[in-house]
Amino acid sequence: MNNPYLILGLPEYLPENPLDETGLDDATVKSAYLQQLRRYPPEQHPQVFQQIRRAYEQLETRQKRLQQALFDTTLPNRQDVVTALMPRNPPARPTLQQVQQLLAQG
Amino acid sequence: MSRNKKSGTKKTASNLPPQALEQAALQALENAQYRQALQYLKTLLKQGGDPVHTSALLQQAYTGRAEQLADQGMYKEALVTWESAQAYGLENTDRRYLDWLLKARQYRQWLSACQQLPPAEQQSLQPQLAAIILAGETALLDTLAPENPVRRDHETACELLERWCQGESQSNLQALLKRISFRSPYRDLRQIIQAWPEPGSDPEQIQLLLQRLPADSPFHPLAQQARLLQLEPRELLPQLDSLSATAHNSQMMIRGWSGPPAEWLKKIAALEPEPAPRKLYDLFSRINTNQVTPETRNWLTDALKKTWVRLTLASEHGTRYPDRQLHISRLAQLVKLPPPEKQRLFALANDAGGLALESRLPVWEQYRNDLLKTATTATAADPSRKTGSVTELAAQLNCHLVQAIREEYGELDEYAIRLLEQALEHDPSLQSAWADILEYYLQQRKLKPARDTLKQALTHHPDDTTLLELGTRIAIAGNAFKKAADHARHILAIDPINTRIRQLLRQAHTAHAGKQLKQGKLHLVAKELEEARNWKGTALDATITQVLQVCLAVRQQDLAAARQLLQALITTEPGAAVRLEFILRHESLLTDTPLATLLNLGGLEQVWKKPAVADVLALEKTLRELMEANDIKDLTKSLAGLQAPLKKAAKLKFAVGEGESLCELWLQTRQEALLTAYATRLEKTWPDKPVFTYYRFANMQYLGPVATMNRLEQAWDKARDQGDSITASRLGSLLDRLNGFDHHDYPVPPMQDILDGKFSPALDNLIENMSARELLDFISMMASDGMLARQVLEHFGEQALRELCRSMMRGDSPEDFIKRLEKGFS
Repeated sequence: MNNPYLILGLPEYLPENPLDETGLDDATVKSAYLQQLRRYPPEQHPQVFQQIRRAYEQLETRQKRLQQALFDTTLPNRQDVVTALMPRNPPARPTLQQVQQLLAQG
Repeated sequence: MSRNKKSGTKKTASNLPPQALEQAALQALENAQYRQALQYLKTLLKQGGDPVHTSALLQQAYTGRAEQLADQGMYKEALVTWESAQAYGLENTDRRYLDWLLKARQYRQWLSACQQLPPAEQQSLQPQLAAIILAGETALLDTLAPENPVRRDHETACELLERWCQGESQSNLQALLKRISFRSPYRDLRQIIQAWPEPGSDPEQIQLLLQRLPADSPFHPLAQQARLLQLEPRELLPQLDSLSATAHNSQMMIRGWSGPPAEWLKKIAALEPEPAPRKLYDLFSRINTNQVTPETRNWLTDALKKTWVRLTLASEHGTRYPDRQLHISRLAQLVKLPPPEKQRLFALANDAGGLALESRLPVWEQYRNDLLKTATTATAADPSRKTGSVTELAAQLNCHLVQAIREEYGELDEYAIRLLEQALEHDPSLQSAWADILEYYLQQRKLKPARDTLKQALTHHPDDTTLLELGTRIAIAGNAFKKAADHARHILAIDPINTRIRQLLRQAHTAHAGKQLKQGKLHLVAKELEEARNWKGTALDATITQVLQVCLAVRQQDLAAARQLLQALITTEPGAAVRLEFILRHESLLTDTPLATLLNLGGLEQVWKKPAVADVLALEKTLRELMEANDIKDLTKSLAGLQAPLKKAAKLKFAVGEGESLCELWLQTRQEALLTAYATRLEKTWPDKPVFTYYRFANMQYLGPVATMNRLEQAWDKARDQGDSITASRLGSLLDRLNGFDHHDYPVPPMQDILDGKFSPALDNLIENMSARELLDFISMMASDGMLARQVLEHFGEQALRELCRSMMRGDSPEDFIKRLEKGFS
């Protein structure tokens, strides 16, 4: 994933709607970064850690976030596209029929 | 083919003696050729082989063959093979056989086989039976005794599952959950429902509950869905590929990916992790076709808007400028981008397309103005509306433009400073903008605005060491040494190990001492020099301090002390005398101490009589150190007395690197005569080094004779051939400058006339008033033929050049004009 907002699970500030502040501050970004670190300890997930670290460095200050909003042209990869397509509020429970199919699968 | 083979084997087998048959069977078993082994063993049994031993081998062969079939997913065939071997001792209660029955969905046979197992084992298979019945095999319930826990708890489990699937909350299901005991065959289902990820649930708790499930739980496929649901896209995507079709589809549907989204996800998942932009772009382009319904198109464009924008800027096929513009316009229309955002994309595309800065700047400025207008409109409509983010964006944008200017020209100009000042009006927290302005004013020696800006900068960043250091340098440049010391002490209070500021402090004290010497305040000089010695500096700083002490002694008429101090500075190191001579020269100018006296005291009058390479290099090193340490750009006065010996020294044999370094120094310090002398000599010494041709003509301001231009072009070619990209680039820029390709400051021609092909009086008047250089620029721009125009200028003069321009504007070819011109002259 290349989008730092998606990596840290944060709402993205877009220059398309310049007046719509996301309310993101440095502390929130840091907290999201630490949360991701807890989820992916560097010693167990060195590559993911590098991704998380890079994302944090891109967003850690307000100025960096503004620069990101204005000038970022990073190429999206497959995961960015998948995440973009991901429904915001998934139903998150299977239907009875799905459960039956899964149990029949053994 | 295989039938022939089989009969061949049979024939062969029947012809073999029992001992050979057994050997062949054992060999086939070892090679996992179970079908062959079975043929040999059956023949052996018929021929009267040991029935016990042969039966054991047959059992082994049947087992192996059944496993082979099961491994290939042929469960029914595996079951038939197993059953046909029951005569040789294979049992239908074997775990493998039971497992294949399940896989083949022969639940009744499975259940009757299970019922032959010991009670303890039967009990262990109850969760499996519970899962089968929940999966829809309810007819099996009738074969179970009423007290069987699978039958007993089935109704509760069914109700729990149905209500849970319908979305009922965990709290409403508590009663049902409690009715399923920890001994119930449905206990794994209960655990999974309790662990199922819900908004706000604790991921660690979920993990813990799922970990408690037995590894071989028949409810595992449902637990797997719960685990997958916890994954982020980065983790999910690689796992999806390894799932069965049922598990894959279930996960997609649970996550809300059904219908078109799921189809699109499949297409995207089929791409490689880092797909080529072209591939993604082509895929996205399919969204805007008739094959996609309007609802799906709206959904996709909304979901993919941000990604698409980035892709359009980065895609390979859009690297050519007009293509990008076209793609952005199409995208803006499709995803309904607001006009300022479209403008931003154009500006980014221009940056990526490497357009000239002059073309890029207005687009960004337009975007910034549109942004600020958005804020003004919003505030007019709602005065309480916060617009801080917009003004901060505008400030960032200005800083971006300044960076672009720096990258293009290597330095800032007045326009860049205005941009930075505007940025600071919007966002005074931009520390780097303050620093850039201060650095610019310092370099330009504009000390008044520098001091004013510093004052403002320090109100916003009172403890910023970069700004304080700039303050120190500004104060030193303005001879405000006390102020410099104040700033420096402030820095040391924040950063006690800052060596740079210690050096600056020392330089401030020595410079102050020099100023006091010049003003004749001799009684203060010693104290100031003492202060300077308290701060660590470079070797050059130490020498300067000592030289000032010598100057003080001279001014106090204590020549003996001055001589003694000066002698202590003289070393036998190559170039040391020249170095000291220059420092004396430099400091005598700054302190108004007679140079002749100083040189005489040190016995240094003759140091330039027979200079060596080491002397010139020592002087170069000293000059560079002085310039770097004291922000000095112009050393013309200090070098004035050395012009003649230095020119003479140009004849010395310098290595290529030494020569380049010297020429660069003369270029930087604008010592044109020295640059010409050294570059000319070095060009002769090193004819295969185009860098010296560059230095030879680097200061040329106007177009030279054709021979010179040809020489520069040849040097340019040579530099490129040699892979010397820096020299090639510098020669290219020089040629562009001389050919007028980078200057467009001539009057703007009446464009409409030119476009209409009219030769109007306005155009004629414009050509009449153009200078030779402007005419060359203009012709180059219209016809890209600078060489021809230069030849006309050289051979026929400015008026002929003017007529060429007129002739070209009338639509005549330059060659026809030359012919006419030559006829006229002959």
